[in-house]
Amino acid sequence: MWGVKRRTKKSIVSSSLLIGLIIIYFLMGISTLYERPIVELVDIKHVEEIVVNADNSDVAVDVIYDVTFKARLENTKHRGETLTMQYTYSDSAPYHSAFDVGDKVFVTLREGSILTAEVIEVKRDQEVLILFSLFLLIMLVVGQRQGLFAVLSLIFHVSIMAGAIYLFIARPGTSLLLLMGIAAIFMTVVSLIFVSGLTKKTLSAILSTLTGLALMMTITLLVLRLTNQQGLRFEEMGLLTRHPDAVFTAGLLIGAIGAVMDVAVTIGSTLFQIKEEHPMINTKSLVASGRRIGQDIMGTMTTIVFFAYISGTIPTLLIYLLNDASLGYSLSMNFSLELVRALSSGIGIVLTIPVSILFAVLLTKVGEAT
Amino acid sequence: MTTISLLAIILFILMSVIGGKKGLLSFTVMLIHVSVIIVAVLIMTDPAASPIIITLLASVVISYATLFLINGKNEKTKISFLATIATMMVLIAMIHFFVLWTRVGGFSTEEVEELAIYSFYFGVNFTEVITSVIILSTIGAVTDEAISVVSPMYELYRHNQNQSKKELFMSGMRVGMDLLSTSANTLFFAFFGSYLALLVRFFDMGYQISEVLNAKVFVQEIVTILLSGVGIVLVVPVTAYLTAYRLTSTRSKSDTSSYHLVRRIFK
Repeated sequence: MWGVKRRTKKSIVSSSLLIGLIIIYFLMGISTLYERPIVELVDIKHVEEIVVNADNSDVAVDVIYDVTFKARLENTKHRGETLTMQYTYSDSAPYHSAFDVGDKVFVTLREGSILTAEVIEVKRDQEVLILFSLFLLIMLVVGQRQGLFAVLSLIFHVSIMAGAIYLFIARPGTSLLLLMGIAAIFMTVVSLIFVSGLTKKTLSAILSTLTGLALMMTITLLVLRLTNQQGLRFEEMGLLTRHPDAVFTAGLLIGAIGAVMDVAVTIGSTLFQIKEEHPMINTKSLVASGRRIGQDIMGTMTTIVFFAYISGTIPTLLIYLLNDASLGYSLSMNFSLELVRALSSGIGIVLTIPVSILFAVLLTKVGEAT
Repeated sequence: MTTISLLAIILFILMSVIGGKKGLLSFTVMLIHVSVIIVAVLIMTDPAASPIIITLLASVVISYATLFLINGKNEKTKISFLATIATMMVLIAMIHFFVLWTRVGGFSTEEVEELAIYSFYFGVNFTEVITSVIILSTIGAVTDEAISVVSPMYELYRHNQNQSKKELFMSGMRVGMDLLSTSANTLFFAFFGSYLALLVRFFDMGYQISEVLNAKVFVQEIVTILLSGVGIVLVVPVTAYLTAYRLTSTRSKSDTSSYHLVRRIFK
């Protein structure tokens, strides 16, 4: 473009990105830009320490601290005023963590005869920005072009899904599953064409992904209906302000898109390559190759989604067990939705193997006829 | 019949029909993974045990089962195993640093509301527990990426055995980076699937962007997504280097050993 060398263009893009990030970082540091009250801690005084013992013994396991903060308001009309706040945290930090002088904290203000406040949340957006910059740096330096693709596709997918959720909220009565279904088709078509262009191989991958997802959703929804969702505890989606059922099924679909696409692309591209290198290969050995690849990737693919889903249940599972709930009860209360997700994605991954082989074999033949 | 058992039966049938012996093995490994997580959580209930150390041990078992039980014990899986463990060590340090620094340890306000009837003070370090959760979310993807880099490198070496260590390393990097987008997608979509309820809530309540970027529950998820992305990038150079080192060091030893290596590969 404009005769600028590729290298120069690259450095222009990366330096403007860097400047952008630095500007955002400093803007995040200006408390007056925030609507919610922010305080900076000036002094911390320990009031009381309560030692928690293990059940029926005098073995100390935890210490709870009651502290008083002296804090200075950074924004709102009371900016610059100092106030005192009460705060409680423990060594194990299951909820609140310890604070240091200089920390910035979001609070709710109580305007009585004297100004008081309660801690809502630590201010952590600047740290998040630094982490995001590190992520970008590693992706672009180690991953280079491909790393850039990964970042761009992450941003693209997040925006499409955010758009779908926005529509869902804006138009009450729309099915989230339907919206996410449309989003899934759009994301699959765009990402796959972006990665490997408008070719027969891409067409085969798109058809395999969408068919695999459709089969998976049909089976899962059928099972959910047949078994009346027996054993599923939607309590863990209690934070939801609307019916959890609809959101859960839409989540099943979204969760499997990446894995199913991966299977479809891996099998499809290898079969097309084999066909290209050995044009005379018969259908039977092509199918056999596809099956071998499928068997090779099946185990690790299911492992990836399994851990991505299941590990999130560990903290609540721990709290149940620590409160002497039985293992069976704790598992049934916390594990059920994640297990359904993992099993359903597993079904999607495995079903996509024969589907991808079918489309790859059919589409490699199309060229031959003409 | 419960939903879970019917889905499990369907998955079992599909895996054994389509995957044959390897499918059955994969299903068994999945059961092993479930039990590893349950055992790990049971050990974590002891306040004297560090959740991070338990998770590190669990990761070793998980990646051992995934690599050796499904793919067999051979040179390739051994290197993948080593690369996975090495990467996880670096990643654990990074994850714990960022969990501490962004203060996302423990439960969020939203979760505490739901767990209101329970007691929380047992001395189990919940900052470390969050680190463990993030490590375990990533272990599957890191293991997968490692084996997907090693196998093609052996294949490339088979076709041209005169490559230098550097050339081999570079080809390993190329292979790994080609897989980067799809591996990241697999993992990220799985995260989005489970975070969907949360995202809907945030939109529903009309949260502002500054509230979202500071909310513990949301930042926990951002940290998970970003650091798991870092994990699947970092495993590539580690694996490529270890494989290149292994392939070239065997070659230089003696004629007989390289003869054996060649025989083993061509078998």
